[in-house]
Amino acid sequence: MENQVPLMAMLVLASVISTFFVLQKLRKSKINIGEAIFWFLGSFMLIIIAIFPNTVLFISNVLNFDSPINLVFLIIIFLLLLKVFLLSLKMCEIQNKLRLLVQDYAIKEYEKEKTYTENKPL
Amino acid sequence: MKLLIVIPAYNEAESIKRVVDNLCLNYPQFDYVIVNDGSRDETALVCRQNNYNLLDLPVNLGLDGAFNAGVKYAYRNNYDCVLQFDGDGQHDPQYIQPMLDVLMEQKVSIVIGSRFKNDKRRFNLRAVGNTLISFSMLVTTGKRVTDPTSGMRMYDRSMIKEFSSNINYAPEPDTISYLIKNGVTFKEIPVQMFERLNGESYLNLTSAAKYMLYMSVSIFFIQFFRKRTK
Repeated sequence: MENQVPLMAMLVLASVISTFFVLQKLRKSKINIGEAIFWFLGSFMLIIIAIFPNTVLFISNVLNFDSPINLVFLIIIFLLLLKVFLLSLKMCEIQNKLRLLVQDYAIKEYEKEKTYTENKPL
Repeated sequence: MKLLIVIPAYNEAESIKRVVDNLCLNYPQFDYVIVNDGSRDETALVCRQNNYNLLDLPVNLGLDGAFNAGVKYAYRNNYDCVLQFDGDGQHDPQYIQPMLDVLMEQKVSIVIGSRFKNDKRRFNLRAVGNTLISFSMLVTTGKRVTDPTSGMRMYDRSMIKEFSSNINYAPEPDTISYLIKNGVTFKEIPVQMFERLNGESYLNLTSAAKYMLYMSVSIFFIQFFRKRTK
């Protein structure tokens, strides 16, 4: 087996840096707790992979992967795909809510104007 | 002390009338506001027909968004305290006055109506989750809250200001934990609650597990790093 230390170090570093960024945003109230939890758990998983590389070695052996690192990449890609999909869902939801809000606002404005002109003394 | 009862309502058309009529008839000394959280049923219609005091949100924001809208209303109209009150008939309004008395006399910022303060715990899913959250809060804040998931809480003026002007202030156990850790005073008083009258509870195994994971991670890790701006 080749030397795994550089890879492990990189995984730990990446998760520490991302955790730091998330916490920074959290301190400034720029991120919702639910989103922070996703990134927190993601970083946690990277650290677990770095500390216990045997789990990855075992699974990649079972699945006949050429190299264990491919499994690490695969896991991360799947997670990112999932996140993109969830983000896309969230964006649709926000778009639809915005549409509703704008329509609602326009109708309310219209009604307000109408009652105003109807009640205006001539 | 001017108290506002905030009643977030999502698809509560069947129970809201009974709850609010009871409040209007037997407790007319308290003001209330119903926050309709973009319900898909006739909640808003029922409120309009009965001339209830209603904030009608055009889209669904979730419990936190709806409750905070009510708190914002309280802030703008200079109320001294707000009570979070369920629209499904689980909460008993006879405990409002005792909670208000504790808030005034003991000068605490949060009063929680606790189901487990004097009562023996029953063993069901809700009680187990409650114990776990209670334990997380004991570990992180050093204070014991017997019923952190209780939805019947009263907040004073300082909390009204904080809840209405910040994000990440959902009326949930993790926010309470965060506030207690930051030195906000609280008191629990024993209350009884009713079973839900209509409709189904959100509580099923998957959503309960998700809720527990969210609350544990939030209480143990996230709340440590938040900076309080007030």
